[in-house]
Amino acid sequence: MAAPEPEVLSPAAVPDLEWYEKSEETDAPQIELLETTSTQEPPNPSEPFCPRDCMVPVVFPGPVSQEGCCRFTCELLKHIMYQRQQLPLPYEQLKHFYRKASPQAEEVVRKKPRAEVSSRKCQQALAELESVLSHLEGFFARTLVPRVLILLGGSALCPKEFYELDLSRLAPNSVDQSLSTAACLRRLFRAIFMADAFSELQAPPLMGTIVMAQGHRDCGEDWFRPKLNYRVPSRGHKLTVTLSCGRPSIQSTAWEDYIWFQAPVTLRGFHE
Amino acid sequence: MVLQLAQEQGITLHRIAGINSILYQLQKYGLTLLVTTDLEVIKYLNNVVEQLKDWLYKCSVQKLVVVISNIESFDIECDKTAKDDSAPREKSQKAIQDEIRSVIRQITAIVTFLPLLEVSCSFDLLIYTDKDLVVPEKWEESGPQFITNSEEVRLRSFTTTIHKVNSMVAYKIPVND
Repeated sequence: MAAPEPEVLSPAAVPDLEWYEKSEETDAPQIELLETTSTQEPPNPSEPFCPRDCMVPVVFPGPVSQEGCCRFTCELLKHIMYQRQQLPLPYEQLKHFYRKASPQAEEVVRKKPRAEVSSRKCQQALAELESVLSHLEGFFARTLVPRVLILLGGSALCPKEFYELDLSRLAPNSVDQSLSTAACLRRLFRAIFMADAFSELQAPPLMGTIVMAQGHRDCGEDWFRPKLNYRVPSRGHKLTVTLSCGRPSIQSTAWEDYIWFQAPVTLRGFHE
Repeated sequence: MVLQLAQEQGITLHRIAGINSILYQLQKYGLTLLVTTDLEVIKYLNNVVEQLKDWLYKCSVQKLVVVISNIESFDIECDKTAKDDSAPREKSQKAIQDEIRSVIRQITAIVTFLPLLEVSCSFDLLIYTDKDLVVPEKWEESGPQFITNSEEVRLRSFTTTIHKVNSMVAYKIPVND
């Protein structure tokens, strides 16, 4: 029996969206830290609304590309893993230091067994993280991704803490009209910084990190695993970053065919 | 008074990040930090730190400014009565280190939204001291450094039993932001 044709909202076009021209201010409105519960509906109305610990709205002064959305997700994942001390250095520095084939670095590793173990752990952590990042790129190329969760510790259903990236208000746009991704990233991370979401002085233990992302149920994804009955946890919420671009958001009913997918790899960080 | 170490040639960041430099990891404050092995940079920083330690001990320092294209500054409030008091002030080493670690993490986080430096830059360290300080050999007076069209971001502060350190970053807003 032939499989039904998937009706996938491709990243390039979304039907029945009404766009209207609206003059945008060149300066985005002040980014405010909201410490109260959100007044906006979540994209999937059937999921219970959870009290929010910290919400950071970020408004971009124009449309962003699907590639940009993928970058936001990947950079946020790397950032959280470092800020929550699951990695001893930021990802790019780790890659630079541990992959550099310098005689002196190798000499250090040879002389110190502890350094060799640390190097192995780092290589493994980097490989796993690179795998997730690479597959996230593939996932974003297949489908719109309205929400991403980064869960630390515990399990996907009951993590110790989790972070959410809400992309549902970013209407997709063709690449040639999009804002610079680098500029958007700077705006995003400045907002997160100002929210001071990682202010705990106590160093957390090493925890597994799970990535979950919403995608169309028929997008044909074969690496991330569909989790049809997954619910966003009600405990452990630390931060929700909501991105928007000042244009009308996609109607929530358009997300009815979107389900949660889970990365099959639990990222394991390491300490030096 | 604003003082900077006199030097004949600037030390460029390109030297620090050059392919011949090897950055070693150092464990301090419970964090992994990268430190340079460039001898000229080390010599420069050692000169600054030695003098800074002396001034800090005498509570003569008000501010430390790192100037690249961006400016990172550390306002230092020094309680000059600390040495006069007979009663010891209580703050554990761990508490101080926790606070310092938190600030260092914030400094790392700032890199995520600072504009990219696409050309080689030089850097300077300026120290704001009490007016009546004698200028040591190898140091010279300097003027303040300001950035036009800049944005400022305040970081967390940390305190010891004597000093309180507030930190701030000012950077030029990129044209396309």
